[in-house]
Amino acid sequence: MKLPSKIKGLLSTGTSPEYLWRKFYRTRKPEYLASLVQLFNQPLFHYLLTLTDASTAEDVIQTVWLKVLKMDTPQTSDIVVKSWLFKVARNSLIDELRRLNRWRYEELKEHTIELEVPLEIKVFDDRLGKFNWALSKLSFAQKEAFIFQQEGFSLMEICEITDESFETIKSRIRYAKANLKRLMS
Amino acid sequence: MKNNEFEQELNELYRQRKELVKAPPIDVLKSEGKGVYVPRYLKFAVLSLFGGVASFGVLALITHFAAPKVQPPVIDGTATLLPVEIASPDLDEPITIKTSLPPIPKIVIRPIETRSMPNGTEKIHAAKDFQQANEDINSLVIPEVAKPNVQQLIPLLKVLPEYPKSVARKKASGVVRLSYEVNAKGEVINIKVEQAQGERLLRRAAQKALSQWRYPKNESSQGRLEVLFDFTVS
Repeated sequence: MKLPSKIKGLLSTGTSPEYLWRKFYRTRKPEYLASLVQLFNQPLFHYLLTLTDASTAEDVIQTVWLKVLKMDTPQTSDIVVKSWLFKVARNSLIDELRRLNRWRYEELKEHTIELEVPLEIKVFDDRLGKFNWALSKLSFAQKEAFIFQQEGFSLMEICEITDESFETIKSRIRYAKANLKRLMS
Repeated sequence: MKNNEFEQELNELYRQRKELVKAPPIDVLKSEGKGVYVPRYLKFAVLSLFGGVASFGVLALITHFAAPKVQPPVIDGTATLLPVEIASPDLDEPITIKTSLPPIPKIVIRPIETRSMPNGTEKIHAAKDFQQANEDINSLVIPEVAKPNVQQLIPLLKVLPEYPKSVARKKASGVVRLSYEVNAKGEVINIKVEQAQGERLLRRAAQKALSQWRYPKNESSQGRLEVLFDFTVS
C-alpha cells in the first residue's frame, strides 16, 4: 500500500504533493503552500460542502489551511499528502460541528439503518439534480465514505482517515450506493 | 452489469457535481503568504545580536565616561611632570640639602625652685655650674661652613623595576644599590652595581628600570649618583 506511493513520489519529485509538502515544511515558503492549495482546495471544499452547509464549509476550509500553515514541522515524512489533508479537514470539520453543537455521535455510528424513502417525491429534470438531492439525503458517515471512495482513496486509506474498521467502511459504501440507487431510480 | 453501469454513472455525476462547486479563495495565503516568514532560529539570532550590540554599547558608554583621561607622557617638553610611583620608602624621602645650620636655640635657665630637700645646698651649687657652662656655649663662635656642592637632580621620569615573577613566587626580597651618571641628553649611563643582596634577577630588574629614567636635558651629573632599590614582599 505504501510502496506504490513512494515509487510515485520518487518518479515525479518535481511536482508531487509529497515533494511540495516536504519542501513547505522545510523552507516554510508560501509558494509551496500555494501549490498545495491549488491542488487540493477544490476536493477538500467539495468534501466539506457535501457534509455541511456552505458557510460552515467556508469557515472550515480556511481553518484547514491555517492549521496546515501553522503546524509544527511533522516528524514523519512518508505520508500521503492527500489523505493527510483530508484527515486534517475531517478533524477540523468535526471540531467545528462540535463547537456548533451540531455533532451527534450516533449519526456517525449508524450505518446499517436503511434510509427511508422520503414521502415527497422529487421530480428532477436531470440526473445531476437527482444525484445531488439523493446525496444530501444520505447519513453523514455514508456521505463521507462515498466521497472518499470517489476521491480515489482505497478502502484501507479511508479506514485510516476515519479511524474505522475495514468492514465498517465497506458496508458504509455499500449502503451509500444502495441508497443512492434507490433514491435516484 | 447494471451495477457497473450505475457505478460509472455515479462517477460521472460526482465529477460533474465537483466541477460545479467553486472553492473560496484562501485567506491564509493572502494575509500570511505575502509576509516574509522568519524562521524561529533567525528570530533568535537577530534578537541575540541586538542584545549583544545594545549591551556592548551600554558598556562602551560606561567605560568611556568612567575611565580617567590618560595623558601621554611628555619627557622633553616643559609642560608636564609625571606623577611617579615610589616603590619603597627609601626613594620616597626627598633629598634636602641644608645650606645653613639651624639657629642655636636659646637656653633659658629657669631658676630651680628650691624645695625642702635634704641636700638643698649641693643642688644649688650644681645649678650654678650649669649656668656657667651655658654662658660658654652662647659665646661660642661657629665657623663658617662651606656650602656643599651637591647637585639636586630630579628625574623627570622614574620607572619602577618589575618584580620578577619567579622571585615573587619565592617571596624572596633583596636590596640593590646602583650608582650611575647622567649624560647631557638626560639619559642614565654607566650603571654600576654597588651593593646587591638577594636574587640576581632583582639586580637585572633594577638596572633595566634605572636605564629608563630620564633627567632634564643639559643637566649632566658631575659625579655619580646612587639609588637604592629595596625589594620586599609583603
